[in-house]
Amino acid sequence: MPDNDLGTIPSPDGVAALAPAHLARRTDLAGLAFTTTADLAPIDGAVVQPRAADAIRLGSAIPVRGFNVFAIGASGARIRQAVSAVLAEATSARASPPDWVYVNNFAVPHRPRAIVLPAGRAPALQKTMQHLVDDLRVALPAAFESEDYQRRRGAIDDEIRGRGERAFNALGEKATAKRIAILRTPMGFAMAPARDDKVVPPDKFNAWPEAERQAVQAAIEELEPELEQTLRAMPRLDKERRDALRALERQTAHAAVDQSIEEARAAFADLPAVLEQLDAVRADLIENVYLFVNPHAAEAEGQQAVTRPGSPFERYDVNVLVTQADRANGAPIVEELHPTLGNLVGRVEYLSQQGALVTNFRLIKAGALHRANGGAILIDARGLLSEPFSWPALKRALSQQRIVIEDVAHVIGIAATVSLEPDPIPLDAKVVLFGDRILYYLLAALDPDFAQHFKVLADFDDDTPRTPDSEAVLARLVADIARRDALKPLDRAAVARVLDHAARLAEDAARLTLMVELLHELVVEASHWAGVAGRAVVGRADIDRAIAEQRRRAARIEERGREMILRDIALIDTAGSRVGQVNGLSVLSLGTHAFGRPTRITARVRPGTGRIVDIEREVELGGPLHSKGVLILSGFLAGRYALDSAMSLSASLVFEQSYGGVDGDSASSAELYTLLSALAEAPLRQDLAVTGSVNQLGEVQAIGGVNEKIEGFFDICAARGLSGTQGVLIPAANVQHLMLRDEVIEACAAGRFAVYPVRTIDAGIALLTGRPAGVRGADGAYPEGSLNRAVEDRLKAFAAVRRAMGDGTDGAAGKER
Amino acid sequence: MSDRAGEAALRMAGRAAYQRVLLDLCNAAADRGGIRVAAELARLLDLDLTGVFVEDTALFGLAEYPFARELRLPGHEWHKLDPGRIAAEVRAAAETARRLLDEHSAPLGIRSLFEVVRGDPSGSIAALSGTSDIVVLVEPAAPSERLARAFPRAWQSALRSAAAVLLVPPRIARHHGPIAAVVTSAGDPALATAAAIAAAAGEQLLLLLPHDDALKTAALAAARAAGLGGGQVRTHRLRAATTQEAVLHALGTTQERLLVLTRAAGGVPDTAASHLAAARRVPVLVVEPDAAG
Repeated sequence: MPDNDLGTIPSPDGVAALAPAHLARRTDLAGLAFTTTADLAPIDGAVVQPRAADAIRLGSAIPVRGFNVFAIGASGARIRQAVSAVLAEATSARASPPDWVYVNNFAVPHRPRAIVLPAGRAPALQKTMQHLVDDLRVALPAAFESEDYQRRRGAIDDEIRGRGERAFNALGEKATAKRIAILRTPMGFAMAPARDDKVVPPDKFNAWPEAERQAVQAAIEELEPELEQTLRAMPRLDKERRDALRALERQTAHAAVDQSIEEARAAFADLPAVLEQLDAVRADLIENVYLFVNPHAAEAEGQQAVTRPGSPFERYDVNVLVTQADRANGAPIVEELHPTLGNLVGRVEYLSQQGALVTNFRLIKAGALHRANGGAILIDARGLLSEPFSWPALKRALSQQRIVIEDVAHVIGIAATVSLEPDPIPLDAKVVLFGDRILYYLLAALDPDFAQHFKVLADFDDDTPRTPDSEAVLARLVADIARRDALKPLDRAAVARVLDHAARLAEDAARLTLMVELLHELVVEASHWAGVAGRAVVGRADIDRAIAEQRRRAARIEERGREMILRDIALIDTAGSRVGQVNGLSVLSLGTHAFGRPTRITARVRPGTGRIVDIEREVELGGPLHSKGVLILSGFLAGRYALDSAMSLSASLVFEQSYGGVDGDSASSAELYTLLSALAEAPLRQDLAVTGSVNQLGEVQAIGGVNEKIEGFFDICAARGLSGTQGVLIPAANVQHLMLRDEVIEACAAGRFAVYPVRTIDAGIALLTGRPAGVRGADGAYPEGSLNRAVEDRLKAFAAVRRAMGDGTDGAAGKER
Repeated sequence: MSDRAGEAALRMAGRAAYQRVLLDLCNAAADRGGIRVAAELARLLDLDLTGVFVEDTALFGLAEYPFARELRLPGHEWHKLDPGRIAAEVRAAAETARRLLDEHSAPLGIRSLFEVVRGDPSGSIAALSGTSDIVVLVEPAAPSERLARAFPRAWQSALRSAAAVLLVPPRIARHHGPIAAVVTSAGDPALATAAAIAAAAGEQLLLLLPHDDALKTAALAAARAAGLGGGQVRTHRLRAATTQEAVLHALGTTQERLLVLTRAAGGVPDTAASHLAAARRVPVLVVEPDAAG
């Protein structure tokens, strides 16, 4: 069947090869004036993704809860950069968000207070508190060492101690008068008879007259209650003294602290929360003045009830969690590529002190949500989902509209350390997740909360229609890549070559890939090769070199496969004809590298029940799509040939020397050709290779990887020497996808190789066998000598055999005759 | 006094004259501040520190009285005196004193000894001391200690001894500040001792001097000889009468850490030392006039 609408070259056997112009579409940059990419204005990737960009703008513009964005696309599409650029544009007009600080909660130290301040003022508060402490570290000791304080303290001491001393002196004098000595024992006091201020030894005392001894004993018995009473009064005096001294300390501390606090308050008079904190600081300073005056005394008196890592003055510090002081105007856009729980919602760190882990409000660290508050945060969805606790924590934050710092160790209950429960901070950030499409679809299907939190989908295209406009935009994108990475500029030919390659990467001459990362790699490598060649500007040759080198680096398996064919280890004929044998084409993708490889497909036929045995499926190497393709063949055969009787065919199909899985239906047309060849006993040309799927009506349908498949067979033929008759049959629908290598096109132009667009099985079989397929005549029969006639006759013969044998049931593969 | 004479005085009053700090641990054990002061003094003057714990013989005899009872603190309960228990508690108190001495001396790297003697606590330390000793007495902070009257007697005994005496009052006001000295003559040993301590401590020396230009000149020369620069020595005028009031007036608002006096012989009366220590809440070191030679 001629395919003149495809621009074919008529061939002697009636099937036309494609003209070179249709084997690849060249980029036309005539509408874009530039000499090198240095002349082109920069552009960001979002321009070529208008649908996704609009979605992001919508998400960022709607301030309603749940209108967060999930950006999806292939990994090479540079979604993060594109999203970031769109967000920057969308949020640039917003006011800077406020600062947040954590301060000590003096009443409940394990629950630090969060205070919000106008943008940029947090560092000033922190500095103010540091100055306050610095001032008090001088002022308070000075106040407590002052003559005035010491005098007043001495007066209190003297007054109260004096009262105690007077009581003891009186008792002592009374005891002395009664010739009684009061002795200090290790644990208390005792009384003994005395003479001349010295205790009388027992032997001398026993020598005293009885009356005198009894008098002493009586005196002791009289004094003992007084001693007890006097001593019992001491704790009350001590308390009185302590209270008086404490009052003096407070008074002294007030005088020193008030002035400093008032100065600090003046700077933040417009912020009630700060003033409240400063009042709390004042009260704490008064109560803990020993921290400044005599740290050793503070320890001795148990003043370290609030355990403090580091300096004891940290309790008055300010932990600046987030500040806009260093930012220009606009909302923050934060990218979190490692979204652990701690990196996301913040964390509480610990210090080891004498073997124990301790913490305080100063060790609270901000998470990405804190930093993004008031703006937007980009999170890698895969990273988020692969980090334990992060995804649920993010959903909780979005649900509650607040950021709660959660400690993993406490969440899972493995930590016995006392931790903090900082005040939650209100969340007002637009969350943008980005990742593979499959993640979005899985979350949408499996997580019931997902739709509630991510209502806006930004779907990044893998490719875009190829028009002069899109080519111009992509050219500017290439220019931007070169500029950003300080690469050598590209000349016009190089840019055109890059765009050609973009179409090849899109597997479609009519589309351009948007996998910017792949283009980026290409341009970087080309710039390198230009440098190696001593060129200041990247030319087409450098792009070609980069593409060739990329292929070469990844081509080890491809070359090994080709070598096996060329050494006749893997059997592929590229000349002659064989019955029931055709060169099929498949594509192998290994990482980023895909290549085509011819595979011999054979068929054997015999009388049977109409079953076609797919050997790949029987041994479980065939995938479902492949099996579907084979089953379609049965439908085609039954519909075309077994019009008045049951199919009496048993056939087997196999991919020879295929030891791995086979899937896809792109070989179904090749399999049908082998079946027809086997049935008609018509040899198929081995200098041709075939790709394309087929439907039950015998129409050849488009397949993927057409360029790689053609080039795979071409490479084998070229290695053996192009005969001029070799070529590939492809579905006509795939012509629009052709972006073949230059050497293939050149060979076709020279008539040494050919690409045949085929719409039907009849056209294909005619080309492969050199015999017309034939069309049923008015008598319902195919013309004599046609291939279809031969097939039908063979099938009738099979039916006759079965009838002769009276066998109504066959199907066993081992009963071939 | 010439520089040479000043150096001689320093040698005699400092490293040459004193060899040991003798610390009465009976009272000091209740006040770590007193032990710290003694240890720092030993370090500054490069002296040995000997802590003495006196076991009261009267206490052991008391246990033999059939009617003897003890009011035990802090429960305020009366118990019969048991000689075995008393002995064990005295040993424990001594051990505590030893531990405190070690705790304060080891970090300063000074040589320390610990001795236990049995006798009268009010006189034993003085009896052990000599001219090359500085006896350190720590005044008990608790008013109840007045009952036993041990400290006043120990203080009087120490003043009567040949040793210098450092009186440490309860709750010292400060551990840093100038070293003040009351100087009444060119050969006043208080000058040499105070200068030596100030130089070692890196503190200022404050000289409280009567109005006498020659004396002032000599005193400043002695201070220079001790290694103190001009900016490290100040002088305050002392009224002619060397009473405790005069000393307090001369000190004014000074935040001294130590006051050095020479005992009697034209200087401040002995009784004033304890009053000055209480008033200023700083240790007062009373040195012997004989030390000046």
